[in-house]
Amino acid sequence: MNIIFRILFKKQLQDINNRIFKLERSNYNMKNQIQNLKCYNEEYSKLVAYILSFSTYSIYDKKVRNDSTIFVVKDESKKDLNFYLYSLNYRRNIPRVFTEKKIKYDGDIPIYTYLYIDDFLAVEENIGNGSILLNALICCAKSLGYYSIIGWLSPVDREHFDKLEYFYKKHGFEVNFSENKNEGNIKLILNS
Amino acid sequence: MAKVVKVEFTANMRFSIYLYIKSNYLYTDDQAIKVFAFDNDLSFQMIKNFISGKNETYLSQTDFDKICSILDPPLYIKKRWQKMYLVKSQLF
Repeated sequence: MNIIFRILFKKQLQDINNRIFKLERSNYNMKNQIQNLKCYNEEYSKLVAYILSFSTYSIYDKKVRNDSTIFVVKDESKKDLNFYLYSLNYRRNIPRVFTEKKIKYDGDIPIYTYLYIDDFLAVEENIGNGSILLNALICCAKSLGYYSIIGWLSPVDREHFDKLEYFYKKHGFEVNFSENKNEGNIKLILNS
Repeated sequence: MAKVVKVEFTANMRFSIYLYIKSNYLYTDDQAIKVFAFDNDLSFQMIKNFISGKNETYLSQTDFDKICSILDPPLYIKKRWQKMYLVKSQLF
């Protein structure tokens, strides 16, 4: 009876077996993916806990790039305002921008507050780290009521002045270089 | 090195090191960094990468302490450099 059944429904049985095989394979893949996600989630939890362990740090924004989440972290104190990009891909070199809060005086009278960029380390080029950091800085500076952001392009970066000029101009900065193009200044007026 | 020229340091440590080297070693950039690294038992590549802001943007505690003892910046600048360039132990 069993043999007759197998002969009569040979094709159907083969189809069922194929479907079972596919389901088992898909189930196996799904289990693997769940396991990976659990590990990933655990690593992200550790990263967030690490960021929040600093009293001056707060998560300002979140971006997703190539399946990896990037945390834009604001670090603000009385004297400075800094931004970092934390991600599982950046364990050693954290892309970051450091600014100092300054006041422009006319004699003894304070006129406006501005941010002075101390250093800008995008670490990897042409992947958008610089733009993420600068956009966060501009947005935050505007919301805090700063009049401008200024900075100095130092001779140590002179090999990249063309790139830097394009980058800062793209974000609305005015860029000026010295006569021999050995150094330069950047300026963005936020509240004109 | 015959003389030590004091320079005015800024919060940008990369430029401050460069300025110190250029003021005290009258060679081309690479040669000056090489002699500075040799004189102070530091790695030429590490200093060069750090100044250019490529590959290595943080300093180890040992290198940081050594460079600060050579440059001798004011305390408030040193504290700023510490925050900006001293490698943190990444616990994530």
